[in-house]
Amino acid sequence: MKQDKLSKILKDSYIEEDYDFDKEYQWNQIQERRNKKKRRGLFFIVFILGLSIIGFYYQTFTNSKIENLSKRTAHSQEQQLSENSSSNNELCLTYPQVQKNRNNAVLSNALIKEIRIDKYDSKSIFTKELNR
Amino acid sequence: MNEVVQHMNSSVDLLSLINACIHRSESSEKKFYLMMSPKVMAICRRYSNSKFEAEDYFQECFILLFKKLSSYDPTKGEFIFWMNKLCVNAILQCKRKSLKFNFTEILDETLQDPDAIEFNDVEEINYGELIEKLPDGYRTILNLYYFEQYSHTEISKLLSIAETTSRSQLSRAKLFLKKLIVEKNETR
Repeated sequence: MKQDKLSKILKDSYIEEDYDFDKEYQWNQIQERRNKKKRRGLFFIVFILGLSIIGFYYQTFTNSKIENLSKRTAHSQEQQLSENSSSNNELCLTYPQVQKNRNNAVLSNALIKEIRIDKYDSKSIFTKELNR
Repeated sequence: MNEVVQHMNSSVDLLSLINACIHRSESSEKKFYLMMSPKVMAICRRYSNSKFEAEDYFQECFILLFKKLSSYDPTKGEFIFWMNKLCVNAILQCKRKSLKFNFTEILDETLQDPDAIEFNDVEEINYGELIEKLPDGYRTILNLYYFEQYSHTEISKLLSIAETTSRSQLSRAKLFLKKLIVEKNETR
């Protein structure tokens, strides 16, 4: 099918020895490009490795940081709780004081009552004197 | 008998050279390069329209060849055919990268059947030179069809184009070539 005249003519028209080119220059160019590709590949591997190392350290660093933070918050919460309980304890301890205050209040009320009585008494005295 | 022995010896030599290249021996690589460069350059010239473009393809072909040498399996076929296919693929990839393909989908009924266009064997005409003058799409399909012996279905798959486009491009390439030959004959 493809073995027509054109096919034959074309094949005859391309003779390998016809092409003259600077083989040494082309070889150097090929080597240079291959080395460049190798260097790029190496750089890529180093870059990826570096990134993964940084990522690993960053992760462990953040993990430890989070751990520390959680430890610290847990500790501070514990501390707060203990402080609260101690303040509660303190409140419990001041109960006699409250009792004392209450006693004071009772006393003051009694005093007020007394004053009133005194007033009433003075009034009565006054009316008594007027009557006289 | 003598020719067969010589051929076998040369293929054994080539295989040992390939093995040395796989093991990164620079002297063997250079030997391999000097041995294969005329063949690779001939392929590159077929697909390019200038010497500079061919040299670009040439370098790309050798870089790919050295990279893929280890994947060559001698039991599957001759090295030359394998190398030819690899080089053509490398060139097509380069063309695809540089967006050189410009295939226009023409469903023209007036187009001649490509096999019906006749060419006369004129010895004085340098066909290689004329093919260089063809547009890139025409030249690529002409090469794939006549040199690589691909069918239109294979070409359409390889270049991701319709089969009709491949046919029409080949027909137009042949018409263009004929026109160039006529022009060349007239200028004489």
